[in-house]
Amino acid sequence: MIDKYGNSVVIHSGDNNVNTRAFVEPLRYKNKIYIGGRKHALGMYSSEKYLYIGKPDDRLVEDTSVVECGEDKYIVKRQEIYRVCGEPVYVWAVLTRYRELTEDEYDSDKTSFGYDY
Amino acid sequence: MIINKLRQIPEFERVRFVREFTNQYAETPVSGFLAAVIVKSTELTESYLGGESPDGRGDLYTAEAEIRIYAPNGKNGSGLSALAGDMLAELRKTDFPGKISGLKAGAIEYDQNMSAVFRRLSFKLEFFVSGEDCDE
Repeated sequence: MIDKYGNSVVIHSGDNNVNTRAFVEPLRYKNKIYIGGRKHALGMYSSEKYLYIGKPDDRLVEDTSVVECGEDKYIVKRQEIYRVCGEPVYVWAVLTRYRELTEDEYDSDKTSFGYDY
Repeated sequence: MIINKLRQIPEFERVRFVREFTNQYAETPVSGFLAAVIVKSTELTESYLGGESPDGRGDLYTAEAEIRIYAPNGKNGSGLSALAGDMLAELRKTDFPGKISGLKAGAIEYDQNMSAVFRRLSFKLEFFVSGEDCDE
């Protein structure tokens, strides 16, 4: 079913890139706690989570594998193999948005009392 | 000025400095050493606008600042403690207008959202703003 109805995705794990099919959809919660971004000392970050259902042969590595689906990129936060009668049936994973490298863009603030930190 | 001096030191070339709470999205996950520069408070300690001070006419401020250094969790924060120690040593001897005191490095902490470990370097900074700058 994944081959027939899944989305085209690319799984980047280190130097390995795998073209495959999988389902990627936003996780829905009744209390909508995952809406909106949050402020962090390093910048903004999204608290939205996404559900991944993929083929058992396409292994994911937590905090390393990046799943590219269309124009969006996601980082794997947790992954498990779902088995039936001991046989792997599909990979279940929770993804969050992948954000590109933060450039060094620190500029001292000369407007703060005339002193730049 | 403090951060710009730190950035010029070869040992800190691998560190990227960002201002606290920017509107840009932070990289997820953290892929290398990232340092957030945070000014927690600034207090007017003494005002010499109407009088005399050793540095002339102006205001003396005390700021509480923090540099929060992040490292990827996957590598067990390898090098984080060494980097924090090096930065503390440099802050002690950096030559700039102002006085640094109360240098402190916190314990290693874990940030689940960023999948990163981090340490806090905190210090107090006394600096003088001349009366001419205040007039601008």
